[in-house]
This record gives sequence, C-alpha cells and structure tokens, in this order.
Amino acid sequence: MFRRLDLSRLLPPGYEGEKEWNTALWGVAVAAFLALVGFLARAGDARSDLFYIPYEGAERILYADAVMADFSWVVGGSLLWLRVEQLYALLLTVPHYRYFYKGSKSIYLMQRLPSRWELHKRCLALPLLAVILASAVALLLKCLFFVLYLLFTPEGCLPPDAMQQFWRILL
Amino acid sequence: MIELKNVTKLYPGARALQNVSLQLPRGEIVGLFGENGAGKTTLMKSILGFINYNGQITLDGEPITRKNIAKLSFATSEHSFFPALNAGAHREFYAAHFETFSHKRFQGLMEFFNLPANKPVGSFSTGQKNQFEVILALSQGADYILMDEPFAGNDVFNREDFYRVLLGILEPHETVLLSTHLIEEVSDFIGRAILLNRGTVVGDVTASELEEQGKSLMDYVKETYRYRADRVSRALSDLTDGEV
Repeated sequence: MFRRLDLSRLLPPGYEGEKEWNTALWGVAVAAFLALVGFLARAGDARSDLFYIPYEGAERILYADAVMADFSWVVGGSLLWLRVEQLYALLLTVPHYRYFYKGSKSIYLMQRLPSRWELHKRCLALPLLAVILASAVALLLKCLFFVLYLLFTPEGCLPPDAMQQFWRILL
Repeated sequence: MIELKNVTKLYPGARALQNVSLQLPRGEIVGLFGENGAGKTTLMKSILGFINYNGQITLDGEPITRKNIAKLSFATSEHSFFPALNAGAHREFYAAHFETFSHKRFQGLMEFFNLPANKPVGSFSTGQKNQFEVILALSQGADYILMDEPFAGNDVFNREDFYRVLLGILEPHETVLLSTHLIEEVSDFIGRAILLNRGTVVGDVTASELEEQGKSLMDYVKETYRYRADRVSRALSDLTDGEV
C-alpha cells in the first residue's frame, strides 16, 4: 500500500527518496520482527519460571502460588528497535533540508513560495509518515503481545492488575 | 511600488546596508550597480525577506508576506532551480505554486534560447543555467523581477539577445531590478540606475536625466565613484619604478 504512494509530492523536488522510503519500510518490518522474537523469548522465560521439575525426567509442575511476571517486564525492551527506527526516520529530515542547498540555492525559491508550509511539508512528510507507521506497528504489537501474554499465562496465574498494566503500556 | 525606508543590514563586523531608502515604481527597468560587497545582493535578499534587516520594506503599500510574495520573482547567479529536475518539471512546479505563471512566455523563451526540455537542469552549461534561471523569473508572472548578476558566464551575443528579448516581452506593469557589473552593456536598456557604495545609495539617476545632462551612464558612474583615470598608469609606474 505504502509503496504505491506518490512520494514525489512528499519529498524535495527531484530528490531520490524511493530507496530511503524502502529502507524505512524494511526497518519497521525488521524492528517488528526483532520485537516479536524478543517478546517471545522473555515470555517463554517468564512461563518457565512458573514451573519446577521435582526430579530429573519428571514432568514439570506448576508452583502452587505461581504468578506470571508483569506484562511490562515481559515486554521489556523488545520495542526498542522501533524507537531506533523512529529516530532514523527523524534524522532523514537533515538531508531533506540540506538538499535545497546542494548544486544550487533552491532554498531561495522555497522561501518565496506563497505556501508557507511547502518547504517543511517536503522535508518532514516522509520522516513523519515513517514515525507514524512505526508508532502504529508498535501499538499493534503491544496488543498482539498482550494476547500472547494471556495465552502464555497458565490459568489462575495472571497477575491481578494485568489489565491495568496493559493499558499503562499501551498508552 | 517597492519602497525601502531606512533599511540597514548589519553583518558581524560589517555594515552591508546603511539607511537605504528607495522607491521602485511599476514599469521600470532599473540597473543596480556597485562593486563587489557594495550591498547589491543584500538589498535584493532584504526585499525578498531572506535576511533580517532594520527599517521598512513595502510592496504596493503592504509589508511583504506570503500573501503578496508571488508579486516578486528572483533570478540569481547562485541559481534557485532544482538541479535534478528537467525544464518540464520546473514548469509544473511553478504553475502549481504561482497562479500567474505564464506557460506561453516560458515556452517562448525556452525555444528562443533553444534549451533542452528533458535534460536535468543541473547538467546544463553555466550559460544555459543562467538562461533557465532568468526564464523562470520572467515566466512566474511577477510584477517585480529581481535579477542578481543573472548573466555571469554568458557570452556577449547571448546577453545582447537577452536584453532585446527582455525589452520586447516585458509588460508595462512589470518592473525589473537588475544587478550587474556590465554597465555599458545594459546602459541602453535600463531607464534608471542606482549606484551603491559600501551599503549606501551614492547615485540614483534616470536615463532621461542623463540625456538632459549629455552624459553617458559610464561617465555618471565614474563621476559618482570619483574614478581616477590616471590610476592604472600611476600603479604601473609605481610597480616598475617609473619605467612605464
């Protein structure tokens, strides 16, 4: 869907932004994948901690007073890569603004356009779109993580404030 | 009319403009002259709002804002086009942002200068780049066209042709403020000359005033700048211990 966007109106005129945009999209995808892997590893650890093995070769047994680790602990730093992706997207504004000083002073034209926001639109639109996309993916991942958290948690082991933790993380 | 009242621009350690007051009515071709650093570019950039200044600049009685800035166009030897775009893409960009953009004038001038339509402008020769810069400024549909050394790098035949075209295509309401060092070349085309020296206006004369006085523009310029005709021979004499 995003690949079909007409990028030319969201970038400095003549700026080759296709590769940049594709990199941003791939960055979001890789960051989401890493977040999922990280979450699953921590969720697996948290679930394992609820059980003990009485003797070698025996089936594992749930502790009588077992309570799953907090949702916030399980999520941990798994979404960090999406933050890195957002930072990368914001840094793209620098070459966008610098473009208007390269090879000519097209900044003079941009500064005298009747539309005050044209310059900023063309420098900020794509980075902001990438930031919004990364934020939306992070939001969806948090929801997915909570569903997985519920699935990972054995019956009766959910912390009493699990729902509150979810909202806290989500917002 | 563009009106400047007591415009002063200070750079760290230098005064680029000092109490400049001017009026540029519609329908004039005005030459702006002065040596390097006299303040010509600073004056134009102040009018366009690219730099901060002290004083007042108005356009048809109003402060210059985004609402009326389309009445001004600008051609500069630094160039303000997008090097990666071709002429057609520039045409689209200008037409999208300037309601008064003249496709007819753009096309006519492109054909006159025989500029390639599909090559990126950045690949043009210096002369072609200058021509294209001027074409954009003239086609924007602005009432006041500011040109800062627009012909640096163009050959003399090209420049002569351009002046003739300029005189031929300008509408009576269009004003051109042309900054150049080529005083003699433009003397037949301008109706008024403004001379700057170290940020101040040291001369302001119309072609008809010069005619009445029986002076050429070059005479007026030399007189105003107190040009010493014996300067070269004196310098050579000093350098060669009087052998010249």
